[in-house]
Amino acid sequence: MGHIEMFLNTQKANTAINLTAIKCWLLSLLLALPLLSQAQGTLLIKVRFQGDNFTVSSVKHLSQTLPAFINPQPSEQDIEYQVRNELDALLASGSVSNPAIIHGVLSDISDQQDEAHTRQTLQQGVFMLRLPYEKGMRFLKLMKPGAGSQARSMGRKTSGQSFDLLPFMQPESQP
Amino acid sequence: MKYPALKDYFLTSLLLLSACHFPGLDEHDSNVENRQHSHELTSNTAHTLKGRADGKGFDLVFVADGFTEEEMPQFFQAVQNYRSFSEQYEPVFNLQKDAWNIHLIQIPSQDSGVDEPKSGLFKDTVFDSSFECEWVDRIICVDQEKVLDVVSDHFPQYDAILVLANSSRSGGASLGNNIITSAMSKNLNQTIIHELGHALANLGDEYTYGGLDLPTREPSNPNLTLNEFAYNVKWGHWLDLNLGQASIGVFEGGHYLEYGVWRPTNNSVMRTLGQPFHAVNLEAWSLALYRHTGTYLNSVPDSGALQQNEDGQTFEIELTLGEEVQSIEWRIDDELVTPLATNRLFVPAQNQDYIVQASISDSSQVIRKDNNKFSQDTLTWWVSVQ
Repeated sequence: MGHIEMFLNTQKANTAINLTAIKCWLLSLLLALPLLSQAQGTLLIKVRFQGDNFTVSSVKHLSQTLPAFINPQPSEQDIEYQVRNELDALLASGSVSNPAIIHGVLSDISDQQDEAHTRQTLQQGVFMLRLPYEKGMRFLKLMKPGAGSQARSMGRKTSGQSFDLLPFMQPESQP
Repeated sequence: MKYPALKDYFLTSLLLLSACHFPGLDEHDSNVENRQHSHELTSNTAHTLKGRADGKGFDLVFVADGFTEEEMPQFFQAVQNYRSFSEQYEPVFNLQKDAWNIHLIQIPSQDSGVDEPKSGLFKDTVFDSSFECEWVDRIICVDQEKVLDVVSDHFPQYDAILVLANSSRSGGASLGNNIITSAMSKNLNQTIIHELGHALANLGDEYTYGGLDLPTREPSNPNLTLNEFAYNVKWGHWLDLNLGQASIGVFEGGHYLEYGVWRPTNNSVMRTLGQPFHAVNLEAWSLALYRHTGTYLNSVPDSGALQQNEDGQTFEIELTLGEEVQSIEWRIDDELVTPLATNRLFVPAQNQDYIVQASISDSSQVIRKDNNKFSQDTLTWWVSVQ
């Protein structure tokens, strides 16, 4: 009997903790909602990668409106992104150069260039997306290198990993 | 939602939220604290050396690593040296200097120097710079997440980040996220220029060592091609330039390959450190700068429809790079007119509506072809008299 009571009490406590957590997260969402209705500012999205796997690490909403990063070297190795609203309308898209690919700098000695300046590949790391904020931005889709262009060339819908940005949204004032 | 209601909404939400415990957020905070370690961020550790903070222009952030507090003047001097060096590297660079915003992050490290694992040297530095990254002696890696966190906190408008690692040993890398690392070697300035050739202007390497596979499609770089035929090569609009070493042609070798890829000059900064850019690379560099800066900062009045002033109307444009490299053609009702100054036109009071147009273009002679119109703009004002 004692054991059953203890079990029930533990269950009640767990339920209470879960409800509190859910309430708190709901409140944080409520707080974030007014931010999401602002059609200005900038989203800074930090993404971790491990191989072809992505996870969103943080999202900051800056009050200052800044341009999106320019990808000066578009290539098949790029990571493509799309940001959509709740109705699946595309609000932003672009690409970032593959953060896994690194190059050594040129050798000081001009006739001794070597393979160090050609590319090496990292297995894990982070990258940033910077996007001028648009009202309703909510879902981020990331496509691994080659996936976007491959799908388009075959006339297929692009597949990738999708993330709901809402739980990550936090206000951040400009430094 | 009216303002009082909005205020109540926020206050209530904040009160309720303050009672919440967010394990994830607390964890994040403590991580940040741990990462900052003993390296305190103070107001004088991050500042702008020159330029603007609104994201217009190319924002280059220099980050010190492996410099102790006493050594920090060496870092500052290195940045100053680069600034002077880059403004003189090509004659036009001095005229384009307003396109560059230079920022500094100077957090003193506990130890002086950089990790050199093969020699068993490990240093406690703010961003964990290390040689021999990916088992290549010359490559310097850093903790990219730390770098991104600190830079985006202070200069979220960054376009490229240059981590200067405190070592006289030669090395560095072009990492993802437009992070470039470099040791404080004798060729530091030339190295930065070369790496910015990649990061800013999408210039490809023009040297021929190390490559194995021919690209399967035409490179996107403006200075590399699989097309050996001069009559339709992508830099064909420069082929009439015949100036000795600076002559533009179709030279075999580039993209690490001896054969099958062609470059526009015999030798350039993208092939050997310290060499000039030459016309094709310089055009790409200049267009890329315009892509970041735009052609003008603002106009007074804003372009669009407006009512004529009783005393006439002055139109003024603030150019991004200035009158030495940019020109404006002013037109009233399609007729070319001569303004008071390059960037200012006065139109006396008129009896009927009129249209003013200002066409901005680059006049430095380094741009011959601008398919994307990065260096050009036309502003129009429709002025009504009534």
